[in-house]
Amino acid sequence: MKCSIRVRGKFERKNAKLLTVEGLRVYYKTNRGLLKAVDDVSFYVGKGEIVGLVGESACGKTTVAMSIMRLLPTGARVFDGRVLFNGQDILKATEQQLRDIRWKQISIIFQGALNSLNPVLTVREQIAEGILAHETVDKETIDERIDALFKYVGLDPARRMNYPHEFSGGMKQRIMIAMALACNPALVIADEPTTALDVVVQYQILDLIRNLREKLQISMILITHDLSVVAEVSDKIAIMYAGKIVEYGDTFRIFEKPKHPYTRALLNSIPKMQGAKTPLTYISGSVPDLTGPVPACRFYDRCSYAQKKCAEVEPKIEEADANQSVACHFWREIEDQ
Amino acid sequence: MMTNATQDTLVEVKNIKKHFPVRRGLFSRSQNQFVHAVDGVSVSIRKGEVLSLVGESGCGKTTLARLILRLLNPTDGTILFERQDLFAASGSEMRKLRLQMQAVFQDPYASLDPKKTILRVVSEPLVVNRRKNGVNVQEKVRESLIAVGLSPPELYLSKFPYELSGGQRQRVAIARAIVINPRLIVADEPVSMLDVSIRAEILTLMLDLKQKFNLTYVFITHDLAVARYVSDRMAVMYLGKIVEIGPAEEICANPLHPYTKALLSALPSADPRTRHKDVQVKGEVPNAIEIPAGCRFRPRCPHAFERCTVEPELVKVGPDHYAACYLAEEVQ
Repeated sequence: MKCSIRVRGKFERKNAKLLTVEGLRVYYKTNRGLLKAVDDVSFYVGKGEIVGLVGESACGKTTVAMSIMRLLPTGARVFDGRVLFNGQDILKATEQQLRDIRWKQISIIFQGALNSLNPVLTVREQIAEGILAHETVDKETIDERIDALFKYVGLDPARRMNYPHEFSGGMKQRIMIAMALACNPALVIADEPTTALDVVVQYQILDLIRNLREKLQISMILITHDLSVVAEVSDKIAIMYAGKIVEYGDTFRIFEKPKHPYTRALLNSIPKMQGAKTPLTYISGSVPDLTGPVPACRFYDRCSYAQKKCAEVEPKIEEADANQSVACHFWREIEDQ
Repeated sequence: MMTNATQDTLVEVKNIKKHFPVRRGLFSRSQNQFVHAVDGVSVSIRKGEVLSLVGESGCGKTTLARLILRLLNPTDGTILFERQDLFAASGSEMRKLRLQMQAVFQDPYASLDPKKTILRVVSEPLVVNRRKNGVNVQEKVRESLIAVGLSPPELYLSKFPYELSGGQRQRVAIARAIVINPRLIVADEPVSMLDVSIRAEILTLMLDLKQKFNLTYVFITHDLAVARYVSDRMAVMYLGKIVEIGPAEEICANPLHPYTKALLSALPSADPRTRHKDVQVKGEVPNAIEIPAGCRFRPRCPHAFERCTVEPELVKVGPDHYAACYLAEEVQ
């Protein structure tokens, strides 16, 4: 058992909450004033669950991930909220406690993973570095563990002494995944894990993510701008727009019956491969500047259903049914339009 | 065959090849090696059509586009633009030809000069092509900006690229391309850097402009759904060759080359109910230095058999539909 990766027991309830984010507000200090990057965001990740965090650039999805890891850049401040991991508030954890959480409990696959490997170290050294920072283990154990990890992610263990440039893009992404799994975390945050990859390789990586979840019962937050990626792997999705979650719930439900005007517009703006070729609809206008005053509903300016109330009263996220929540005053009225 | 030029052919690509030498270290004794970026492509681009080039990175689609614009000289083969040989054209002939072709690039954050105002950016084709005389440059630029939906144009003329959003920048890049009324626009991944909600807007705009100005597009994309949406015909490239070409709708519904099939089945569909598909193709695209002998796709192909050791040619497999695979031939 010493060399392989621990498989989480089946006795762990699948719906038990592993990570809960409550009312998170993260603001950046900029020259033009406070930028409300994440404003009152709440969601949870159950054990063994894959949650997709979807939105366009600058909607705050990476900021959420960085807050969970407590890796926010200088200038960013958490103004409010809690991030509970197994009952412990990560936002209040000391550096010492964080050391026990980061990588051992929660690990991250950074965006642009293809460039985040160190070119002058072998991949073995880079994976070992992460392990040694958190555990005291001998060389043999590390090698055995790296072998096991490589097999898990579909790489040839004999290549652990190679340098990053000797691997293709898809293989580098596999190495990044192996690295994130090195200390056997309960939660992995994957920030745009397939964005720079070609379709066939993207498929292979998504397939790997699915397999890892099956085999290791790992939980995951999948951050992406690509709705079809979350459609492919995630159990739940949270759609973010301008720092807020506008719709949240079961993947199947949301794709079948999206309720928020933004989600609906977003789904209609992707060209489809199946069915008749219909003209695409698009969302005119652009995302509001988050440093300035924003309308009560942040989608107000671009929403085709907007009414007076939307500019004045902020819509709170409410349960539309057991598996779907939406932040829109008029979701009932527009549902069948 | 497809290389038969007809009246409605705008660009005729004839067995074009582009091999890039691989730079080695100063003291290296190894033989010269070449990246076979484009390795024998023949295709005719018809007037008024949208031909999309699809394929994974490194398949040669951008190199082919640059050859069509004569931004590169080929290793072998030729390209005729309105029956005029691009690579035999003299400087002054080329200048006339260049008036008819323009490009839109992938990254609107990099393709616009940050130090130039929008007026200067968009008027530049008029200036470098010496079309300034007798035209009111400002007026031309204004028309162009209105055509791409940046109106009123006065609002944008004196702005700098950094003041615009990604979608607006790409509109400026398109305005720059249409300002000299070209006949052909080569668009290299024009929407891949943009946010999803903006993409549809730019695609719709490009299709509108095509109607309005009688344009022909060569549209490069790695996104098959985008290709299906915009194009009349689709050419699937793999390791420097076209492996399948035909009407876009037909290729998506009835792909015949195993590589096209793999690409289509690997595509994540925006519908969670159609998950867990089986993609038969293994591995990744080999490097373009040592091209596999025989059919290029053979090492990854689930159906490869003896005949595949001899490279298949593109053959007709349906109306206007060609594929370079022995199995596709048999299907017919």
